[in-house]
Amino acid sequence: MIRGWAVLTLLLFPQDAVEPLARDLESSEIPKIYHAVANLSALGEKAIPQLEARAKDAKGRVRDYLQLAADEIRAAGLLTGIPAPKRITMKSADRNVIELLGELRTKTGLAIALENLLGEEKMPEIPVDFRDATALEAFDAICKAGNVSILMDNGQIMLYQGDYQELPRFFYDHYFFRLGSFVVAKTADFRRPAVQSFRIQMEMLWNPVAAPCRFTAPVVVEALDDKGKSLLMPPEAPRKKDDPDDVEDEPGAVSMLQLLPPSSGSEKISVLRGFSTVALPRTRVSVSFGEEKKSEPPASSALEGLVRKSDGFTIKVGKVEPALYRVIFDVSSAQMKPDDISKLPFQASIVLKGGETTRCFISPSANKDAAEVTVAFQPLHLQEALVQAGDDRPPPPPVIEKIELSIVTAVQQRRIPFEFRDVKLK
Amino acid sequence: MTILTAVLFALQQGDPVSLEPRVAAYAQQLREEATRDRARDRLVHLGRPALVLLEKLDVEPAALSSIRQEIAFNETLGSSYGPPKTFSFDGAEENLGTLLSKLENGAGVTFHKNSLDLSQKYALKLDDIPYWEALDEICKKASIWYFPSHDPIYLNGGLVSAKPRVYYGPVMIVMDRLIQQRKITFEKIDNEYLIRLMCVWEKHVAPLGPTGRVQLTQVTDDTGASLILFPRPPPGPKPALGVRVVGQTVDLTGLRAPSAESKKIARVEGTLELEFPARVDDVRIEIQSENPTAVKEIDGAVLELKSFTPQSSWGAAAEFHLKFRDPKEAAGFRIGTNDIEFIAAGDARRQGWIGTTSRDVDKGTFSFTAHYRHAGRQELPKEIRLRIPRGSVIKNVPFCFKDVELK
Repeated sequence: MIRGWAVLTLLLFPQDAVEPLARDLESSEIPKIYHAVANLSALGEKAIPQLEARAKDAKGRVRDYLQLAADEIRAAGLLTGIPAPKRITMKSADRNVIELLGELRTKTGLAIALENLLGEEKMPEIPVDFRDATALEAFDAICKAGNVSILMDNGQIMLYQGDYQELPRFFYDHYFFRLGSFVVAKTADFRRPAVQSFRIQMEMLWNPVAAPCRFTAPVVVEALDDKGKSLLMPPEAPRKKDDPDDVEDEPGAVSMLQLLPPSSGSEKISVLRGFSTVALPRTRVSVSFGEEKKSEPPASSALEGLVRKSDGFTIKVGKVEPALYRVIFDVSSAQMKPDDISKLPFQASIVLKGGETTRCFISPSANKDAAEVTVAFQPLHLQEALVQAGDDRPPPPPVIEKIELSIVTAVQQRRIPFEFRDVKLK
Repeated sequence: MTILTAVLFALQQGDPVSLEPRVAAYAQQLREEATRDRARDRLVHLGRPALVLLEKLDVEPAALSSIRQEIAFNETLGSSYGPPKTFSFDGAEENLGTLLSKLENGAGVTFHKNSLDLSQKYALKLDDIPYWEALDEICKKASIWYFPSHDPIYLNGGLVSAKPRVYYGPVMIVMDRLIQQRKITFEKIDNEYLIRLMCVWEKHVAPLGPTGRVQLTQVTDDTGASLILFPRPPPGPKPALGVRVVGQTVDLTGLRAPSAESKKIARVEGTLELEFPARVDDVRIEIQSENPTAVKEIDGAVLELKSFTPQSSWGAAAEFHLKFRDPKEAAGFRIGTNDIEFIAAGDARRQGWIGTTSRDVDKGTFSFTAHYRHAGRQELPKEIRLRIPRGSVIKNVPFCFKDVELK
């Protein structure tokens, strides 16, 4: 019966929607391929049977792209609270980097603070011209044009004047990968024959609206040098750990891709392709404080001690310290120990007087009675800062208008692809 | 057997009767390049009685002077340094258990040797060699490997460690690994060659640890090319450890990689700095079971036992707080397991182990916890004895590795 419905759906679904996009998957241009993947994913659940039928007949990369599109459709229904990525078109020649990033923030909601860029008295106008770019692709293009370096710290994007690095990059959805460096090493430890290794450092950055809760180590599915040698490591039985120096790192945003050394004389890696699996929030318990008096923001002392109960969790505003830019919550539950609560992923949003948004850094810990969740926030005050550029006086403490805290109670795995072509080996 | 034991005992005690021929033999070896370094090492560590005899012999004045200086220097290190425990085996077959027990008794160590067949017999002929070398010789014969920096040492059967090693007095330096690295950051290329050494010492020797600074006189591959870069970049800062650990690594950096056609590193020669306390202050604290706290004033510092509380069923934790008059002293202070001894009922001595350490350089304080195991008798010890290392003296330890294969 189910098979019958699937066949019927396949017959009813317009073939011409998939066909041209599927052809684009065979392109040699990476942006075109992943644009096609995104458009196939946007076709929704009805396209899944056709995508999977095509994947069965396809080979190599194309099969992987079709399967990725099908997986993306399935994951989309399970991910809550993560908006679909927007594509941006921008053309300008008469605005500086702050103005351009300001516009990008308005168009996409990308949480970026620009304080570090405001010291310059006069910023040059820079030309930008891009079409149908993801938010991070547009962001990177503006930073490149304005020579602004991008760092990701504790899940937040940081910007610094100068030193933009021209690194191999890949953009997908709310995510952005870049290769930092690679290391060819030969180690003799006198216990076994000298071992040669080739490692590439890869960093994942993301739009804070789609911040992963957890990471797993990236998987490389294809790696070829320009001499045609596959650089994939052969599958290996787990080696007994007998060396105290062999400390495995926790998977995170920065990882080392372990490959075989390229052939001698090779000048580039032709293809480096794989995926990074991240856990994203699926269900969460959210509470908010400070919504009662709409006319004016509540005093910090009025927020302290407020308690909200939701789905078995009791969340109390422990301390509000605007001068220190932080709020501390006590979170408890009859079903969970404080230590277990502190291991759950948390998300927070703090809005300041006048609706000004902030970006938040969260650090949970546990004491005897409750998990203590410290939320440090940083205002994104774009307009005020622009007016007061060059003013060294410390700003007055911010006034908090609304606080929202979410506890992620279930996560959804999502495979984020990466692909690089023609990476030069100097 | 009794005579042999007496001879061995006399050898270990530096008996003047047996010392004279040994000094004469080593003085002779000073003339040969192949044996010079080893002979000098032995003469230095036989100490002042050997120097008196050596001065009567025909020895090159420069060599004699350097031996005299090092003996005098070693004496300034007091109880923190001492000659190596030496061992001799006459070539008669003995079982592995007996051979290892001789080392354990002579050097005051305990090996973990559960997986070894201790009844296997081996014949070793070794004359007057230090503890680490003796242990390595036994391990070579019996196919045993171990991590020298573990305390206690676990002896594992199956293979022999091929890591090159050199010995100097009570110190052993192991060449742990060679790392050739080419790092490309898409902007620049960094080529690095690194030789990682592991420095360990005998149990009766108590340095604060290596400083990480090394003076290299020669690093060459078998094509004759020097691997030392000029100028050599300074080594990175070493993290300030709170605990005196048993063995530590020292990285030889600022090197270039051996030539592509080379198969060996011909020579790695130099000295590494080993830091010792300038003096050690002994402190005794008698424990009042109803109020186990105390304050002891020592020269330039105050040691406070803040609490000594039972921890579940196995023992108790003592919390100490040291406040130095000169805050700079807190910055480099380290304490080790051998610095704390608990005296239990019946004068049973038990070593403590260090739990946590913390320092506040601005306030000149160093806090640490020392754990005591009562071994079944649920009562606090009657006394705690501490050795508080103070100040710093650098001893340069020479090393020379030859013909290291680049496999």
